[in-house]
Amino acid sequence: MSGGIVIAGFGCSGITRRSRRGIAAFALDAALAALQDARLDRAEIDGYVGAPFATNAGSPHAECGDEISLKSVAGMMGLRLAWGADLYRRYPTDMVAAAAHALAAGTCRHVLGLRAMYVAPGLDYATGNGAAQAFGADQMTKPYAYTIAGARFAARAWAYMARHGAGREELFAVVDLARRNAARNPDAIWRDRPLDRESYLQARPVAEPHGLFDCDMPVCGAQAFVMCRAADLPAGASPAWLTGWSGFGRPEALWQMSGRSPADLASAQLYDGFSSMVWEWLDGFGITPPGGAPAFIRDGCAEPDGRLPLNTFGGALGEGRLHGMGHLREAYLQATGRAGPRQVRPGPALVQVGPYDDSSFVLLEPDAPRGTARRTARSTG
Amino acid sequence: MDSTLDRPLPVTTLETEPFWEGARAGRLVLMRCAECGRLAPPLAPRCPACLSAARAPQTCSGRVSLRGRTVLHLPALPGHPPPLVVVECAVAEEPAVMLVALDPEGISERLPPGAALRLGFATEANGQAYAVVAGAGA
Ligand SMILES: [Zn+2]
Repeated sequence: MSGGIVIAGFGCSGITRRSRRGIAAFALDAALAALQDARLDRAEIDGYVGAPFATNAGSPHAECGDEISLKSVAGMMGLRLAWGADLYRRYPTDMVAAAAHALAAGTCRHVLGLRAMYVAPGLDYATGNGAAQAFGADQMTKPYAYTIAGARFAARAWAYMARHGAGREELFAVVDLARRNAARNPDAIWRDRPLDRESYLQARPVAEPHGLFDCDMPVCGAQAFVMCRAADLPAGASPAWLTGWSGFGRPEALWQMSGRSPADLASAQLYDGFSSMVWEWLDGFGITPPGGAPAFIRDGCAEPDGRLPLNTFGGALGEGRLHGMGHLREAYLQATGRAGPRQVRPGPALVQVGPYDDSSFVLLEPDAPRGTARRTARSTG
Repeated sequence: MDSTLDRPLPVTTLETEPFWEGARAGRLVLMRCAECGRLAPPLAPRCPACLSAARAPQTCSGRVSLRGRTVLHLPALPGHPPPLVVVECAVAEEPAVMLVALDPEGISERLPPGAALRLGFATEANGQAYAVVAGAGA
C-alpha cells in the first residue's frame, strides 16, 4: 500500500537560541544539508512540503520573519516544482504523509520537506504584546490566558497526574532522560548542560505542574528531508522506508498499514514540547497500561538500553523546539543505522508529533515493507 | 483587581453572542438543538450531534465538573497578576461542552479531577463579564 517510499536524506541547520541571521538562512542551510545527505542536486527537486505556522502565542506570523513558506523557499533556491504545499498548523508527520501521497500519485519524484523555527527579537515569545481583542475560538480561551505557556497542556497534565498518582519526580524522569540523551546529539541546544534533580525541582514554575525545564527551549533552527520512491533513490543515499502513517483519529491505521504492532518497535520518538506529553501515547498505543507511562520512564524502560528507547536524540526538551522535525530526523537516523553513539537496535522507528489529541504518526523501517519489498528492492539495485 | 489594561475583549459573532450576553447577565447560556435536544459549544454553528441549525438559547445551571487545572506564573493577563488559577470544566448538562474559567479564589485547589464546581461570571473594569469559578459542590 505504501508502495516503496523512502526518506532519502536529512539535514539540520545550526540550532541557536537567538540569531542575527534570519529564518531563511537557517531554512536554506537545512535544505542544502538535506540535498547533500540525499546525494541530490537541487534541479532534481520537483516537489515541496512545509508546515510553516509558528504556534507560539507571541508570534508575529511574518513571512521570512518567524515563518517561511514554499513561495520564499522555492524562490530563494530556484526550485521548479511540479507540486508543493504548506500544511496549516500541521506537523512533520503530516508533511511526510502529504509527500507520500504526491509520490504515490506520481505527481513528482523528489520532494523537499522543510520546517524552520525562529525566535523573533523584541517580542515576548510566550505572550506577545497582549492583543486587545480575541477573535474566533480565541474568545473562549485568550481572556483566560489558556493559550499562554502551554497552560492547556499543563491543565491536562494536572488531571493525568492526579488520576494516576504521578508527581514532579516522574516529570523529572522525562526531562532527565532528555538531557542525558541530548549529550550524545551534537546539534542539541542542551548537549553540554546536564540537569540535576535539585536544579530541576527548584526551577521557577511556569504553568503548574510544568516548571521552566518541562518546556522545550524556543530556538532558531531548521531541519529538512528529501523523500522519493525507492526506485528514484539517488546512488549513495541511505533510505529509511516509510511503512505506515496515520492521524490521531485512527491510530490503529498505522499498524494496519505497516503490518506491525507496538511490540515490534525498536525506538519511539514522541513529541515532548512539554515533558508531560510523552506519557499519553505510551499509554495510547498500549505500550504501557493506562497511567503506566510515568513509571515506565522512571524505572528505566525508556533508556537507550531499555525495553523501548525513547527520544534518543534528547527530544525537543534536549535538542530545542523544532516542532517535531527533530523527532522525525532521529527516527530516520535510527532506521538507517546512522545515529552514531545514539544508535539503538535498528528496527521499526515510531514518530508521533502533536499534542495528544491532535497527533499524527509515521513508522520508518530499515527494510522495505513486506509485499512490495522484493520488487522495489530489486529496482533500486 | 487593579486594572489599567484590559483582558482581551471577545469579538462576537451571531453564534457566540448569546453566550456573552448571558455572561453579562451572570448566566451560562448555550444553544439547545430544536431537533435532538443536545447543547452545543458557543462557537458551533450547528448542533454537533445532528447538524441541525434549528436551536434556541438555554440558560444552564452553571454546574460543571473540573477537567483540568493549572496555576500560571507568567504575567499573562492584564489586571490579573500571577499566580493565576486557570481551570477547564465540562458543563453538567452536556459534558462535551468544555469551558475555560479563572478561579480567583482558588476554590479548585485540592479538588480532584471530576469534582463538581459552579461557574459564575465576573464583570471586569472594561465592562466585559468572564467566567469564574463561583463555588464547589453540586
Ligand atoms: Zn441536534
